[in-house]
Amino acid sequence: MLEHIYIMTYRQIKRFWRAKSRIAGMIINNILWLLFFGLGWAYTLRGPQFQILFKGLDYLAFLLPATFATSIFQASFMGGISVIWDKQFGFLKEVLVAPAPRSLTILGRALGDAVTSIANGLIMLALGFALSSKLNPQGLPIAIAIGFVMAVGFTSMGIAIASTMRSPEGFQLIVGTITMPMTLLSGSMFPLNMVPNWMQILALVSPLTYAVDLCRYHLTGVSLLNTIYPWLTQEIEIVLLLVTSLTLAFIAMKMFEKTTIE
Amino acid sequence: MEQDIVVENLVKKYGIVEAVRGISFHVARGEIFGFLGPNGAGKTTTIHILATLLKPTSGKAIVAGYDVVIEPDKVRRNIGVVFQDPSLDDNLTGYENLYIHGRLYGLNGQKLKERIEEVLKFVDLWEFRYRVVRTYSGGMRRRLEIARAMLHTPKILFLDEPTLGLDPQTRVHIWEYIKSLKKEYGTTIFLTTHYMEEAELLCDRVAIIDHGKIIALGTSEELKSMIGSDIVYVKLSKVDGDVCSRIFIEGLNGCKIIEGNTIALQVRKASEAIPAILSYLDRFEIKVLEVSYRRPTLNDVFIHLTGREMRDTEGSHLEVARMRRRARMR
Repeated sequence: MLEHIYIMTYRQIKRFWRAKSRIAGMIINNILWLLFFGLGWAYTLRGPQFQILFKGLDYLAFLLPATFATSIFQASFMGGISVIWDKQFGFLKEVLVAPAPRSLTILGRALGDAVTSIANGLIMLALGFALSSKLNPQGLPIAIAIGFVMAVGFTSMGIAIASTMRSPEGFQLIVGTITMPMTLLSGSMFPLNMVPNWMQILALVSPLTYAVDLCRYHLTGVSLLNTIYPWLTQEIEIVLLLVTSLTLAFIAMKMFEKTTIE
Repeated sequence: MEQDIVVENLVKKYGIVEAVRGISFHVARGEIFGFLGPNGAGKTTTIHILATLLKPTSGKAIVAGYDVVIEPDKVRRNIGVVFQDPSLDDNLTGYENLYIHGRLYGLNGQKLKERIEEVLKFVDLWEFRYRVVRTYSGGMRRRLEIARAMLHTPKILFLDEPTLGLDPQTRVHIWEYIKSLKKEYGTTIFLTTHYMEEAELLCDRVAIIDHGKIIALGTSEELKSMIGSDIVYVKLSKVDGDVCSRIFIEGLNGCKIIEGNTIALQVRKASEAIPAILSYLDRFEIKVLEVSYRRPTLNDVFIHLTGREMRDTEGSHLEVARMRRRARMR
């Protein structure tokens, strides 16, 4: 059983590693974003009044841990597109005709893509450590664990959507319309304290919000969600994140079992 | 004899389009069985049903002793499939493609390594094993797919148009591999093709399929004898008027003198008739300069059965695809 999960994980990682240009592109993208967006706002929002807004953090320390989470989110969700490539280039048939249970091969695939998304997040975070001295490296292992749980959930979501789709363009369209609002609503770039109520409610529906807050808490010691909603403790956030990810993984396994070729 | 594939009254409908319309056939262990027919005749649909990728609308298909609908997992364990369209991972090496396949089929460790080496050497790709598949030629990919399908030593191998789109030289190569698969491993092979010569050369038995129905089934000899006679041409040093009246052989349907000292004999089976004809001519001390004969091809059989050439029906493939898509959109 583990065999079938392992081999698909192996394949996803191998493919990722082979696409060196994609990795280079990812690093460059991250650098540019952090430099121009991160530093830009960090210089704009300097001063004691903003420290209050960010609960004692400066903007970079506020932004960087969240960026770790959102970059994992984007990469993992996008991972579903490989299911569509496999449909188009035929490799999917090879997997579907194998005696290995489909639910396990897809789980292996989700794990593999989760690992590569973590790699993406870690590149981002390495830059973060270079830019700011306020991040706590001791929180890194647990932040990675949180990132992993989230990544499994969102790769599964990507896979579930991709299983029903035919063209990469259509998938990209959906990914675009889902990732953009979720990233903005997650409280990664601005604190959610000041936004209107309805926006806060939307933010609380999205599991990414919890992942962002948890990563921020473990890397800087500050949880902004907790200051708005005292009942929302770290434990509850972790449980919510775990439940969502497991549910999404389960849905992906079920949907992929029904995939047929035509 | 043990039957590896038993198909009874198989039907597959896509909406209102019937791609497979109630076909029945058996394939014996160790046999090479071919589906010959134009594009869109239902060949690929049939292979996909037998390989458990599609569910039949009705009818029964038993592969390697298991029902494809009830026990697809057991069927999958016993079959290897080479699809019509490529199904390799382009970004991995040939070796990695086989490695992943092996692990998906439960092979591992030393045994897997040995199998990979054996099948790669079998298709002459061992020296290219560390090259990324993207750099392989069309023929190399097809060979790699055959190697991959054989890796887990399946009882039955499905080949969907194994030489489609390959140049003639490569095609001959692939034929060699397929023939030696049967010889060396005793694998049962089910293949589809729309090339007459492929069906004739490779298959022990051929089913001619058209519009989702099997319209004829037998060895290619049997199929060709359906449309009657071979024609034997014998060129003689000199011809006298009554040469025809001197030849009496079984199954002779006609004899006439045609231009240039040549006689044309219509016989049931040229291979048996030629020695008899020669011995008659020899007895009358008539010198034979040349002997040739023309046999009906499977194409002649197809024309005889359907009234059209197999090649002229390329358009119907698109037609079916279009109708399928329309049916799905409803």
